[in-house]
Amino acid sequence: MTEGNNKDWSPRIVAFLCNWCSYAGADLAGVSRMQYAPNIRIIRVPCSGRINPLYILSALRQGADGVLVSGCHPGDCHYISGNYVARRKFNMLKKFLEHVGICPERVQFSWVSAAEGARFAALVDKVAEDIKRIGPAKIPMVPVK
Amino acid sequence: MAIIKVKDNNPAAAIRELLRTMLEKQLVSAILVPQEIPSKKTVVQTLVSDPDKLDAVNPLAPIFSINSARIVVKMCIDQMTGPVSGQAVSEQPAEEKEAEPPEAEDSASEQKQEQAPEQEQGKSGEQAPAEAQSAAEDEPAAAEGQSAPAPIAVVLRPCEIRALIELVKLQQASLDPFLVIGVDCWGTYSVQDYAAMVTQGPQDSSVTADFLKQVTAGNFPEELRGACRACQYPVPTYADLAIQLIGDDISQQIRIEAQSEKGKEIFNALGFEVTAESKERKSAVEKLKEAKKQLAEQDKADFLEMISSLCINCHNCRAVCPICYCKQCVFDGKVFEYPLEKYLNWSGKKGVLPVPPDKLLFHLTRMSHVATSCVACGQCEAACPSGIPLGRIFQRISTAAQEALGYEAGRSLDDDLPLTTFRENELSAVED
Ligand code: SF4
Ligand code: SF4
Ligand code: FES
Repeated sequence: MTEGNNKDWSPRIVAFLCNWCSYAGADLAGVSRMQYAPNIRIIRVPCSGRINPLYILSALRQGADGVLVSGCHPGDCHYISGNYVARRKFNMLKKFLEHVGICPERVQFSWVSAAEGARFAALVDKVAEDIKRIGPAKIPMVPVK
Repeated sequence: MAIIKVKDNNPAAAIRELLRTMLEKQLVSAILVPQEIPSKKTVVQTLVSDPDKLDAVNPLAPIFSINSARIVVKMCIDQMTGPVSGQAVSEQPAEEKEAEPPEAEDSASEQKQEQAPEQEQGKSGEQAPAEAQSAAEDEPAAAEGQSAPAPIAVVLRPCEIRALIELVKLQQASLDPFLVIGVDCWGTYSVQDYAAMVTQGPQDSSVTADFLKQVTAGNFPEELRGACRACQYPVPTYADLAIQLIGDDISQQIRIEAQSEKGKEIFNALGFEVTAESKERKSAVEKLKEAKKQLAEQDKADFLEMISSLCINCHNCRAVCPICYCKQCVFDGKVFEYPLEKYLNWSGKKGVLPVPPDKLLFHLTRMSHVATSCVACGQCEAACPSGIPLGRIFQRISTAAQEALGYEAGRSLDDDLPLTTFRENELSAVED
């Protein structure tokens, strides 16, 4: 199955969710039977601060069309400040994706608390929509047509 | 601030004589400085301790073969991890120390030590001299104050100093043993261009003199390296002693300014007559920066395409980058070795897989590591056998990343590294 000419293409999105808030938020969306786009594959991490930019880039390189990163709201990080540092890292990452020629919208960040099942569902829908609009990732760059 | 007279229209010679005096007066124990090789085709970095071995010194040669911050890092490795060998220096005090404990120490603690299992004793016995040595090395300096060894002068360009500052903050280097002598910089040629100019130029001409004549007149040679064309740091951001050229008629005089306590001591010992700052300097520096802004190439290189087609995965760019700071690179380990099955799997997913598969990831990872500290020296570009304009792309991404985080690599020793700190109310645009 090659992606370019496939009309049924639907994006593959890797979601890194922090254990304490966003993963619980996703869980809540699940047990509340909320509907959201089926495009995400969740990877649970201890904290958004634990996410090395390499993970995000590696997901893109291995065929993800988009990456979602979510952690606790600012001020609520289980480890006090993990998400503040994460925010800086992601900001930097987005800046240079743009300059390298990878659409920075492929990588998205948002904060979701354990109580925000609905917010999580809406977020996934939005990200899936965004990635659909941008189209399939050309990563890894294929030099031949 | 003092004025140094320039003879025979040769500012490099004036700097050379200044360095010679510093060595002769034993104000510095050695000097790291570039010297021309006999054929004059290039310069090499040298560590000079004999004032008679400075004859080919030319810190103004417009050539930049290595970011010397890398050399400084190598030179202070033992300063970072505690003394490793250093027997020569500390032999005697170490012996004294070793002899000391049995007499000085209380018998109770002594006995405890003796009761410890043999193995442990053996270990602590091995460690003791090392600890004693380090203590002994610290002691004389603390006790006798002034008799600390004369510093090693390192003569550096602004971008080398900026890299060094970042490396100090990354805990890879220490400034303690060194006296940083910063020299203004108008830019440099590539090693190849420089050598070609020397070979092709008339016999008695000097590439340095020609270059200085042009740039001081506001003309920037075509061959200036890409990184230098866009450089916004012609003046050192940090120096113990700054040698200032911009804003003066350097055929007549240059200036020297002490910018730290360490620098002041040496400055005073050199017995200069103190003068006021050059009035023209500030505006001249601004004018130069402005001119460089115009020179900066605005091309939008297709980096993705270049990497996937041109990069041969040699990792030279990593080897020469002063900032690339990991002691063990993740790309040298097994993380990126895959079973055949994986290759087939990936190839199957997209129908085609460029191999090796992680070239782009290598660069993106390097970017995520160096973006906040990259000093845009362009050494990565100079080292690339495939001619990928890495300097320009790293300059662009690092400027963007540093601007976003309110940081400037090499600006000051006091700013926290941007990824080690945060503010609660910032960057909210990233979210959602
Ligand atoms: S990435 Fe390139 S331009 Fe930046 S510091 Fe390293 S070698 Fe210099
Ligand atoms: S130096 Fe050039 S070819 Fe070698 S790894 Fe870096 S970009 Fe690739
Ligand atoms: S624990 Fe959730 S972001 Fe740190």
